[in-house]
Amino acid sequence: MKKYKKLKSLADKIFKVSKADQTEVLFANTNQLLTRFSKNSVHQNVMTMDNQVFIRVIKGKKIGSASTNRIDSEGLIQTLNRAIEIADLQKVDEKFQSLPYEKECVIEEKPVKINPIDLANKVETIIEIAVDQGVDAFGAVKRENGEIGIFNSLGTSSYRTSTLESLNLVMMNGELSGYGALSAKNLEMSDIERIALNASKKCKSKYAPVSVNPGRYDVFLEEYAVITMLMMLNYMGFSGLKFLEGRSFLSGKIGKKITGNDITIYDDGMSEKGLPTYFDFEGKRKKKVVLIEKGIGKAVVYDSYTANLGKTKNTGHSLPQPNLFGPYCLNIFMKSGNADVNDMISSIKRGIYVTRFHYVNVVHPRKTIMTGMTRDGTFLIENGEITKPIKNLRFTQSILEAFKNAKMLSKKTKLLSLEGESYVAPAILVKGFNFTGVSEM
Amino acid sequence: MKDIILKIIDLLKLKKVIYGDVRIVLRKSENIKVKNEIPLVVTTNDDCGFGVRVFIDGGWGFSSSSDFKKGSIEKVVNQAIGIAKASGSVNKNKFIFGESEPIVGAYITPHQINPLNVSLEDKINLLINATSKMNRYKRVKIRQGFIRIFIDEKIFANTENSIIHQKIITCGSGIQATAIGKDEYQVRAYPNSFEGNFATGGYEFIESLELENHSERVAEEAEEIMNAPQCPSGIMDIIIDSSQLALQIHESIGHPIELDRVFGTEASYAGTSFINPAMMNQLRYGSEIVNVYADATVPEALGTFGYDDEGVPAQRIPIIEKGTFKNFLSSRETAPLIFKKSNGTMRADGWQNIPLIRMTNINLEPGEWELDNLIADTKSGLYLETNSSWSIDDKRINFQFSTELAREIKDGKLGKIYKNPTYTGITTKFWNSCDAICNKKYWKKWGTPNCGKGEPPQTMYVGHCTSPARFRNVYVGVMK
Repeated sequence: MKKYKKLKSLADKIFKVSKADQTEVLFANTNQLLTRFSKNSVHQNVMTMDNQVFIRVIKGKKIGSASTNRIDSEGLIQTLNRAIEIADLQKVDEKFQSLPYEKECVIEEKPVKINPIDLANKVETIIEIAVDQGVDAFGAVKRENGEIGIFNSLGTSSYRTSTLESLNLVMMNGELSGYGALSAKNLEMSDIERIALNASKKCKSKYAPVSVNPGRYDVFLEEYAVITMLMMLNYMGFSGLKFLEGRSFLSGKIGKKITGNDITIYDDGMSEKGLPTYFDFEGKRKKKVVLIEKGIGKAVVYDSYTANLGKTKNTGHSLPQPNLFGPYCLNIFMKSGNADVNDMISSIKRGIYVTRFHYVNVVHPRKTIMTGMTRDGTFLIENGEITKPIKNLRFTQSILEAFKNAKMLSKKTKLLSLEGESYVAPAILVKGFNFTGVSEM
Repeated sequence: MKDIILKIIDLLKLKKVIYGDVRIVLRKSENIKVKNEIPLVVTTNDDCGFGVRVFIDGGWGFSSSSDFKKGSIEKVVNQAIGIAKASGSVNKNKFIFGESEPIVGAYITPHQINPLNVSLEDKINLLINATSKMNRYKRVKIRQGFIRIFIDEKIFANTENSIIHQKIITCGSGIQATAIGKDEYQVRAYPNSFEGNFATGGYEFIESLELENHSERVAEEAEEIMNAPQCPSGIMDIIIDSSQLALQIHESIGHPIELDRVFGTEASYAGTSFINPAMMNQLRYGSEIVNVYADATVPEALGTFGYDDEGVPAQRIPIIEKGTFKNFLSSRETAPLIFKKSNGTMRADGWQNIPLIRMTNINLEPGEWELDNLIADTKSGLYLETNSSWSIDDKRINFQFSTELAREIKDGKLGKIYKNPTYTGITTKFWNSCDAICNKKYWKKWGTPNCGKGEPPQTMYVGHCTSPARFRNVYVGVMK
């Protein structure tokens, strides 16, 4: 509570001197250590400690904001005054109603020790496995403590501390590579070893990668690939702003069938099964929102501004304000199925096993068509068995169409944190996934 | 700031590090986004801190903080050393670092008007005036204008007695019209997608864009694209406009020539490269007319500076000459591994990140053609304008781009507009199919302010200067 009280007292000082009608202060503090390794050697090891303060003020319906990383009184007052100057210069925004009010919420996790030796030990374990397997390890291990405090002059006080460790790993062996990643409050050594061994296995084959012709194939998509699809879907249309403007794939599709029956996707910032964020960047408590249920488009998410625009309820999905993105899902879950991974693979007569996707981008946002490449473990499946590695393939594929053709979902799911967003997803089997090119010189 | 940095360097020498450097960076930025005549984002940011990088006991370490108090500075120095020792405990690395003379230098971006000295009101009004002209186009539901300004003031010093002061002024602006229909929307932007064009220089650059004069055309074209037929599929000759070609250069030349990628330090994240050092002076990267330079000295280009973040002066170096691959982008750590000296491309995003090898301005030299003559010389094909999407594999071999629109070329004349054009190819095959490049008159400087690399992710401002060029037999229209 000590740190919470310190930030609250700083915010109260700002509210006391602020001449604005409403004032909001967002504190975002991080302490992060990241160790990167390449070819079984540490090449980068960096620590960052930073404090950011964002102040937003409302005068009438004029909004100004400014930010700084100076958290002394002088820095904060300067930033407040700058935000007020900006509000005075602003045009009236009639669509703005008010900052939200939320009752006090304080969630404190015990911070982890940021110790370079701990991370070095984890990297050393990975490198030992790589050497033992005769492959090269590339990747990063990260440990961070975060602190977010959001206060406004209406009485909102939302505060949380969080811890996170993550691993991103590629094992390489000549032309072949394998991938693994993990996110958790604390990475257990046994999980790290499992991921490292699995990635090593993927880059060991008696065959050199062969080229297969582009075309439609049945695919087994590991959780990493599914998570990328969910990220793209999130970008293309779970936002209330895009929905209201007619830019979301869900615009005009609420209540309509858009994927197969097995697909249920929701955002739940309170669930301990993910990496809960509890409240949004306006301090509003997170509501669970079912986005797609059994293949039917159900809902999108809102912040205070877009909830007012859409004459609906704020679901607690604001990003730091001001922004043009609108509200955003940060805790997405895809409901798992009942299938065993081995059964999924053995059900494919001729198809492709995909570990992960790379550099995926939008081709047609309303049709959810994306393009990208496979990477770090792409294999041919023949008669229900993984037979040989293949060269990476380019796909140009509608995500909703792929989810329409999803025939099996795995029982197990994977949790990943990706630059502030967390995703939980199963592996899936998709019929007729569209590959449009192959990577070769 | 100079006193503080010299004290830190003294402390590093006292601690007997093999090498150490320190950067203090003050970044002032302004971000204005106007949407449908409402300035929804008007914000300023001040960000200041320092980063300490050391090599000791067989490892590199870096620590950084925004706290300049004496106790904090010592803590950060000790952390950097502790981290380096932890790195060295995994496996001892030899200290390989290209030699450099101590440099005492200074650089300020040449400019007429400091963009932060122009009133916010003037900037907001500029964007409102430019975008409000789109109002009469009924299918254009979203009218947006953008201005972004970043000024980095930084001092670099190292244990080799270099001390360099730089002030890099960057700014940019653009407008965008979004036409929205029942099942799709189309975006048209000026002067480039993703918030416009960016340069090093003063507010005069933003004024030179004359946003207001392009506003109605942009809105009209957004509606036109909505009504246009889908781009056909097939193998075609294409002429790529200079803004899209800038991104093509970025993805398929700029990234694969980064020597840290080649050596695998980005392998688990952004990927590696299809090029290796044995390919220098050997690889036929492009056709005879393809000449590419990395030039950090081009006035006003976004990747222009005085010194990189290892204190190496900005340079112009050949990358591809007459189609043959000549050189990588390098650092003091990587260049000796190919028996060369650093060509000065190490840059860090702010004080809290270590420098990485980054593109400077990767430029395609102009050719001889007038654009009209080039179109007249093309019997059948497409003229592709303004990027809307990009993707390339982890070795930078297979790419696919989308542009905002394509114009049909038929019997040497521009014809109808197509929507949702895409094209795809293989890097070296594609550059070898380049048979015509427009002349100096069409050579434009494009700024890419959002180049991502590294972990933690860093964003860098890089530039690409190019004229439009023609490529033969390219696969276009990949949609299904």
